[in-house]
Amino acid sequence: MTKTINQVTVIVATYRDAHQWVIEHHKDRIQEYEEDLRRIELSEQDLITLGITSGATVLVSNEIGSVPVTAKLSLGCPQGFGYMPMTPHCQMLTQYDPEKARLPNYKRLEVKIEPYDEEDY
Amino acid sequence: MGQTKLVCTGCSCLCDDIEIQTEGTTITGMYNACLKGSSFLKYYGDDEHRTPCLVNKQRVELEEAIDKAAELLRQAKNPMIFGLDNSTLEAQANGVELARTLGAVIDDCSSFCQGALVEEILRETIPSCSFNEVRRAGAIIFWGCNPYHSHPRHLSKFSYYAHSRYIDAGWTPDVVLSCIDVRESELASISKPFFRITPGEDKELIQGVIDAIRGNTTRNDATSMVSFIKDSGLSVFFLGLGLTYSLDNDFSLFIEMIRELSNMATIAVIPMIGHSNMRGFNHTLFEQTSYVNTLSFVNGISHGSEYSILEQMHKLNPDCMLIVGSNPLSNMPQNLQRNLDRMSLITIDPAITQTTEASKVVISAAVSSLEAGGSAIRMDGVKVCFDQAIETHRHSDEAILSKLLDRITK
Repeated sequence: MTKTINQVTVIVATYRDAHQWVIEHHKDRIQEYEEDLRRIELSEQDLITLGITSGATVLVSNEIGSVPVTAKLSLGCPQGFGYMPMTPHCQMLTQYDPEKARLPNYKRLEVKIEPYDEEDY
Repeated sequence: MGQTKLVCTGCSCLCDDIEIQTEGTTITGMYNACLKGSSFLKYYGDDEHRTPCLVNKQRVELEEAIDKAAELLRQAKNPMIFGLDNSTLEAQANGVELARTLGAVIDDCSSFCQGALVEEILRETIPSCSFNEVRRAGAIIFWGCNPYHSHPRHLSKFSYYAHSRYIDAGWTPDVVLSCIDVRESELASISKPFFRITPGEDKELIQGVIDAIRGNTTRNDATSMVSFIKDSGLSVFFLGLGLTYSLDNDFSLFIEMIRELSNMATIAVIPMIGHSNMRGFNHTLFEQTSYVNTLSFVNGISHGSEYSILEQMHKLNPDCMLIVGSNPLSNMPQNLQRNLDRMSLITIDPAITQTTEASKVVISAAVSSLEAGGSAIRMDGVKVCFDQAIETHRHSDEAILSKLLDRITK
């Protein structure tokens, strides 16, 4: 039987977090912090389409790479958009392509999102 | 134990009221610094994070590292110098001179940050002002940035809370604080009005403002913005990378909007620059060549986007790159990071970074202001001078680049 996978395509804008500096001095908490930043903030409608609730793991991918992250509900986030903190995980999806734009795609990452089950990968 | 005042070089606010307590070369206390600044100073104050001089990953003395760097640069067919955004103006002048001597390409982070905007300000196509003038503004508008994270003392020391007038009750500045952003940030929560747009919608909003000024029917947020700007006397726009990236570095429509707004109010624009002296790099290069970045000294002076770090790395053009105080292996897009592996890298940096770890030569440097005196240009274009705050055995970028220049011209 073929398994149906719910998917959404969204435009992601990345952003910086000042705590990225602070955490360097709290080595015992780096892992916890990095886990917290390993997230994508999505609209309620997109979470419903994906059939998941806030806190579920999703696979975020594009032609550059893919990364499993935690999906979080972002109130006010419009459907079809998302936000990700700029981290090494997020960097795995970034690209500079002069055919498409003069600047890298940090503020307009086109990604596909689907629920992530480790056993499937 | 000593107590010293210093200028924080954690960002381009260049806060000049930081006090540190030291025991020898160790920082034991710090006052007035923000979350980012205190972390920055503590990070560099910890020897564990500092890099030694290295050649092929082996520790060497400074002079040997400089000799090897000079040898690699002399042998290079297409050398490039990149960075210098955290160096002093004096070091930047040496960097530009080194590029000229080598016949190299030179660029900094501003080519994919705020350089285009700074260039328009220097060419006076966009009006700007100093932080002092912001204190008497009628409206402060942050566009595509969140100073709570990027410049944590911006609001309290230079803009909103630093305003010269407060309402009678005394706890709210007498100024319109507005913000345009794709996210409901901390700043958005205190901004009235806050204009939420979707990623990439900035251009439509700008066009809307132009339409509203011209009396055409347009979107409500644009009409509302024009309305309060009209009544505000001086309105200051603080522009972040959100806008730069949304406009894909093309500010032509934004300039048109500023021109139209300037017919009905006084407008000033200040870029929310991240690096402590990125604006200094732009000023230094502009004074010498009339360009702010993306320059080649091969056969005289040539300028163009083909000399940007992005294009140079994309086309794998440089065979040897001197990187000063920057970490492109951490903050460049994934597809460009891979290309850096194919070049000879020479890095001048105070700290161990992914880029120093991939470099053939690493030259350990002092941190500007904390360990090296000099001057820098704040994000509002004001020059800030500073003395060395603590003793160090490390050499400044200025001294290292001067030594490199001597070796190259010998």
